[in-house]
Amino acid sequence: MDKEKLIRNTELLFTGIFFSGIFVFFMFFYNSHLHFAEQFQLFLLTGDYFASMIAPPGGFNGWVGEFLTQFYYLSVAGPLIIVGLLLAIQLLTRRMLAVVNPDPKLFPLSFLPSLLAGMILCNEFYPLSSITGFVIAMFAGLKYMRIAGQSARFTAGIVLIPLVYWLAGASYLSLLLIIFVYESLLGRSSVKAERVSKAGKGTFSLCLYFTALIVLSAGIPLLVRQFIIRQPIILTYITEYYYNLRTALPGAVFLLFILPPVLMIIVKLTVIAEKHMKRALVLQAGMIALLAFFGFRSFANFEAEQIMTYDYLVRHERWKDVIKYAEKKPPRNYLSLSMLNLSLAKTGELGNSMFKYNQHGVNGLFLAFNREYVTALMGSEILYHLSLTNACQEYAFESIQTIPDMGQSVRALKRLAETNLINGQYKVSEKYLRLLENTLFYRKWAKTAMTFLGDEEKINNHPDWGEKRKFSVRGDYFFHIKNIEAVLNRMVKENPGNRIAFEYLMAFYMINKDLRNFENLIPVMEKMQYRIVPVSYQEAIMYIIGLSSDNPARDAPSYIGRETMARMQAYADIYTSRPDAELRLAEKFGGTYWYYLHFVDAELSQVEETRDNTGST
Amino acid sequence: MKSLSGYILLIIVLLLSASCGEEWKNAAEAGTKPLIFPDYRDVVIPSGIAPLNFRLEDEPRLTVAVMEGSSETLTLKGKKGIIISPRKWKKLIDDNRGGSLKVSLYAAYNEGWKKYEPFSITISSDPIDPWIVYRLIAPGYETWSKMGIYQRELSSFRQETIVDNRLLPGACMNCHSFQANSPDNMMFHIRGNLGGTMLVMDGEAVKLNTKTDETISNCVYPYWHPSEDYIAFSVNNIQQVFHSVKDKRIEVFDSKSDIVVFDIRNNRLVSTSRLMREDSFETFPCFSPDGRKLFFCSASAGKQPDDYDRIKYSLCSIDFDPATGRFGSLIDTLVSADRTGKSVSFPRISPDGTTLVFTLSDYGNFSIWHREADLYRIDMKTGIYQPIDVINSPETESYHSWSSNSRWMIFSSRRIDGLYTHPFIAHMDESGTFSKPFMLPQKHPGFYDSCLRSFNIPEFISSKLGTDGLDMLKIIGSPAKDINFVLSD
Repeated sequence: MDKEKLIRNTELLFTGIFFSGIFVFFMFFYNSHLHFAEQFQLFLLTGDYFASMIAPPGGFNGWVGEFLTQFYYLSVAGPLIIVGLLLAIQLLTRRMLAVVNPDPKLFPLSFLPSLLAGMILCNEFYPLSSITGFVIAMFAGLKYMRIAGQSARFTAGIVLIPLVYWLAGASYLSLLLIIFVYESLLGRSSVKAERVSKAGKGTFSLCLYFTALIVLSAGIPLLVRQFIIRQPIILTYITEYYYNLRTALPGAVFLLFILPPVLMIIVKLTVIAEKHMKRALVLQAGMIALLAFFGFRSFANFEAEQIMTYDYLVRHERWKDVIKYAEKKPPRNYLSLSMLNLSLAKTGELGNSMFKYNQHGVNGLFLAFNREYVTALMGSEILYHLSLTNACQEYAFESIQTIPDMGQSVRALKRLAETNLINGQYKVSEKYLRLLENTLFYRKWAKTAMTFLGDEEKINNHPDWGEKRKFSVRGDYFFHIKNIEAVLNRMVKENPGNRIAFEYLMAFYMINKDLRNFENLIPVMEKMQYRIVPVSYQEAIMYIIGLSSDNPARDAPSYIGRETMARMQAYADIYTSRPDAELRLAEKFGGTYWYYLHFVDAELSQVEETRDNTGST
Repeated sequence: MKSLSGYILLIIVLLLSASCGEEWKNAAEAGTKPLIFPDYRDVVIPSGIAPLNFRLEDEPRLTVAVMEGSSETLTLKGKKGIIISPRKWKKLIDDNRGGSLKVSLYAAYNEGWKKYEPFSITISSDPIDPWIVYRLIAPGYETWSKMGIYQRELSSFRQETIVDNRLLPGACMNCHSFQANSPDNMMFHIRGNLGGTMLVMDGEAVKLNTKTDETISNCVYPYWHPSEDYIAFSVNNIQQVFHSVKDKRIEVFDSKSDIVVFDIRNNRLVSTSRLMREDSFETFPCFSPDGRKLFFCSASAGKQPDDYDRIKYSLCSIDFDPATGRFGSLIDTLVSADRTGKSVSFPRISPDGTTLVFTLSDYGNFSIWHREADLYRIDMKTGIYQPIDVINSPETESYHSWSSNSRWMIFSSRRIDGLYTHPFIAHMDESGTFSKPFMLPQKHPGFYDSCLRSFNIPEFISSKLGTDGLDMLKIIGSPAKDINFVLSD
């Protein structure tokens, strides 16, 4: 095999492995992050939306980023889009570097910007537009480098800097660096200098040209700030759509911006002898692999991925999948735990299985709104399924208001359309539905929902909305998550058929080890007509009987199963006789309420929330 | 050959456009007035207003509007509504100032063309202030996203940012107020890390810390004295709670409130024990046009939130001497909550002193979240008050303010969807009679459909505001200046 062919094949193989790895990572290990990003935007396929987006600098890039992000709705589309964009970055880098130094042995270096871009996308605060903007700047940079004549190139530079600033925003800084480095390298190269000379230098000196570019790059954003958009000076330069937190600097993106010019310098200065070709390729490949390993480990947040997976499954009401997922990845925080508990409640398993998982107080049942958008949206799911429609509406609305990039959320808006429909606020619901009709993936749902507007009978017969209306709050009170116990008691009283509210109330008392209030609810439970009384209720009842009876099995009501009685006996034998009871019981009885009562601390008796409760006037 | 096909194409196009152009003239009579959005049927408008672009509610395939003035006719067509050329509109309404336009609508449906009964648009000869200022914010609960204070030119669709939280990340701006509609003297509050009250007078800005040891909070609801010397404020302990039943969302109430007057020249708050009583809540101050009387809302104090729906505010007044900054010894009651069984908020008197408009709701003072809230007017000569039926709707009408010539009132209403407040402008003639209000026109009739923010506190100003947040940035970022408090008893 000749060397050229060897390099070509190596490159093909390397490309295949690299991008397959990216696809696999985002498809199978990080897909929920993509769904998470999709739900926190509202991309409208309308001319007005396009016009409003492209008005500010970087807006076109924001539009492109949002356009592509909407396809994250489909699990496979997100990874494919990311692979496509990273491939574009790699190809653009490859071609750029080839202009500087055509030696193919340096091809692995062209993967570095793609690698960093992939890592950046692991962080949910970096939108896809942080990458699309970079692609636009790279494309402009390559076009620039391919212009042979110096004066034509200089003219292009003067045009491209403001153009890229307007279309792509902050990435014009990357283009600026590419131009500086390329022109500087060109100046050093005698061969190129000859070419430049032939093309006809003379109109601008390089120095004058650089000064003009710096003035343009610094001045145009200042003019924008002075005459078009009032904004902090930093935001004028870094523009929107690169980082969702406007008050912070997107450090990783800046690293990405400087990478192509840095690589141009490296390849320009690097000479690899033919005899060292294989060693150089292996070295570069090894370096990329190491960077990929440590980089993704550093950028990726698998704990967040886990929460997002719970949330994604709950959002799509895939309750059984949530429980299955919990078998593999047990909840490690309140967010995941609350989603699991909701899924258990929706499948009728809360009373049976909740103590099979580590319960940590009532914050695993309800999520307080702490002026943060994720818990608000996840918390609204719980409130929705409890039929606390107004509270759900409040949480969904607050979620939108606290989105870091000050955008909208298609998921929250959909929920608001539903809550207003349930509450009979049809005009507001219609307003939201009309917006959703202009989206790609929610249009069909919105069109169907529109047919419900004003049709009381149709809504009442809807399996979900009808149920929420049936269980709606009748007597008014002021809702606060801290008072959830009182709220649930009222709900159970008003609507004894609201089994989810009842089971959440039972869970609330059991988690708090409040057996007195639990006991008070037993008559309500008996009216609920359970075919089989949930296991943990049986366990709690047996425990209560055991406190006052020397023979709980004899005094147990008829709905206590034999198996529960036998298990209690076995549990009691170990508990009363073994000094290492906690350890021994954990193995066999760790999922029982008795074990929770004896060995697990109930961390909080009230939902914890910090909020400034003064109104917006 | 090429030119022949070109001619054929031209003929086809001409034929098509001719047939399309003529068809509507043979429309069948609908026998009803059209339902249009925004509803501009039979409204009274000023001549300095932007084109009233609108669409038919039932979204026909094509709409034709024929606008007939005294000497000219505008014929307009549109698929998604009627968009009027600003130049032609200006000429049409200038030519018909003091008269009216007859508007006939024709609409193409699948079953054919319909002609609706015409309606009129009356063009008042009373001028209107050329700009308005409002705050845009989502009608939310506790937090806020994109928000700011903006100025809008009424004769065009131009909206400019005065200050927003893009410039001031995390901040919230509210309660903007002007001295006698003058853009030269303005104030607004900033909440958040940069909190303070911004006072801008003749281009000079100062940031104030309006909390004193003697007052219960920072200054809240403002009203500027007709002179440049004073601003009346309420100081309130505000709480917000959330309803659980479907017809109500939010309740905002005071657990304490008083009234103070900021003496600008002496950098001090002045008040009287009669406006700072423990056993009553006083709020929403408003100076009379001569500056010698201060109107305000007052209710017997109660325990909050237990008494939230039993606290009802009366409209009261107290004398004020601008020369000394002292208050009168008596408090008059103009509208008594005991008699109405309801609650007054937002008293606003016309600059000519003839009419005072207030909001009346079932209880409390934050009528913005009360669907039953309506606007009432008091004839200041007779003291008789009555609802302004032509303005009110089944949904909330709340904040309102006057143009400098007292002929126009702008108010916010939730009548469109029950949640988002939108600005409406109504004409009042010399006899105090209001006309049907019109919604602030926008470039696209669908603007309000997709707008997810409310228009709060609409205020007229007599010319464009020359200062904005960027000019004030240094002051906003600096520490707020403390002020003193004096009890004038």
